[in-house]
Order: sequence, then structure tokens, then C-alpha cells
Amino acid sequence: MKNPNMPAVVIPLPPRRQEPNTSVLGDPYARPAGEVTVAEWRVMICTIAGPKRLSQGFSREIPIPAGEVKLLAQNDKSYALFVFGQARVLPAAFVIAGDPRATNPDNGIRVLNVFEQVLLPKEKLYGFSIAGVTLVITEVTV
Amino acid sequence: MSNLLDPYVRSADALSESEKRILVAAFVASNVFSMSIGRVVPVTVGRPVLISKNDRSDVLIVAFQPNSPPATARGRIGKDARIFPGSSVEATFDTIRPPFQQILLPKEQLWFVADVVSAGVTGFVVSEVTP
Repeated sequence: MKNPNMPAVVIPLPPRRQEPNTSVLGDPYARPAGEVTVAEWRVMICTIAGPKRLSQGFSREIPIPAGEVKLLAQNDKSYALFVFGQARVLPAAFVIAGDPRATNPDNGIRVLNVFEQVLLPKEKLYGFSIAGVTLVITEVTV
Repeated sequence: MSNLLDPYVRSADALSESEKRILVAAFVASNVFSMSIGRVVPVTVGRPVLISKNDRSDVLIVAFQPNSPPATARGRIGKDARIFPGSSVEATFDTIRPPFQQILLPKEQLWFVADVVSAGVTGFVVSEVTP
């Protein structure tokens, strides 16, 4: 029940753009389709089509010694880079993260056997393993 | 995604025709593999075989699975006959799941080398569709 003595607290959503919202559904973050950038399109293509383009990718083996952090992939020239990783010998548990400081089991992403990631420009992907693991990393960009 | 932080950002509508076709192909790939007549590609364990080659389409969707259900197989896929452990993607196939699919752009090839196949499997059924 409302207390008449208490002022109403209103937390408005920050306007994302200056133009008036024309979405009939009332989505405050809606944008016209024409405003989707090429980079965003490529992220979408990589995310959706990446797994179906793996056969045309470039694969390499990266051993991660026990207790060490290794750079697995780095997007230095693509709009979006699809990265697929699988352990050479199964089963294998390891940790991945975009920051080398986040590659321990407490603050990284724990992975079992395989993973998929999309990297934006300048982004890096690191791996860590307590017991040591060898990963096959495949990269595809479209 | 923040456009201000993206050094590769461009104005919209610059997406190439190939990129649009890849996107379309990826969306529809799961639902069109039954729209073509498959052919059987014989497979021998340890020997690379050419599964498919895109020599006349903008985008080609290739779906393949073992030809003798129920069956499973494990092997590696690649873009040429040089397929080695550690330099290729390992994939598992079985006939109780939808076929394994890949999208080929012009001139691209799909090669496969089998590591393990279950009894009765003599080859893979390959279906090719262009969206």
C-alpha cells in the first residue's frame, strides 16, 4: 500500500538515443534495423554460422602446462573471430577468461572438454589448467 | 556492443552478399538437408576422403552422417587432405542426431578422415543444398 507521506521514487531508464522511441512494443532500447552496424552483423554471423564453418578454419595445438596461463586466441584483425577449442585428450577440465587475472577456477569460466567463443577486435582469450591440458584451437572469421 | 570502442565500425548496409548468404544458410541449415537426394561417399578408417566441394554455388550447405543406422563414427574434418590430429577439428557423428553440417563458400572443399566407425558403416550419406 502506498504511503501518502512518502515521495514517489521514480528511476527512469537512461535514454539510449536522442530520437523518440518509435517501437510499437515500447522497447526503450529498440533501434531501426538500418542502424545495426557491420560489426554487429559480423558478430551475429560468427555466432550463428561459426560452428558450421569450422572445417574451413585454421587449427593449432596449444599445450597449457599445469598451473600456467596461456594465450589461446587473439583477435587482432577481424571484426569478429569465432574460436572453437577442444581438449586433445578427453575428459579434460580447464578455465578460460578474457583477462589473464581471471583464469583461476574461482573467477574464470570452467570448461569441460570443448568451448566456443566470439572475440571482438583487440580481445584476447586465455586458458588455465590445474593439471595441464593440450587444446586444439580453431579460428574462423566470416 | 559499444560502437565507440570498436575500431572496425563502419556504417550499415556495407554487408557483402556473401555474408548475407552465410547468415541465411546458417539459419536454414537445420531444416533443408532433407530437400536433396543424398549420395554415399565410401569411407575407410585413416584415409582422407573428399566429402563435398562447392564449385558452383555462392553458399553450399553440406550435411552428412553414417550410412548404416544405428551407427556412430568419430573423425576429423578439414579444408584439404592434410588432416592431422592437433591441426583439425574432431567431430562425432551418430544416426540418432541430425546430420553433421558445414557451410562451404565458393571453391571450398570439405575433407574427412575417420578414426573410428561402428560395425556396418561403409560410408557417409552426403546431402548438399544451396539456399
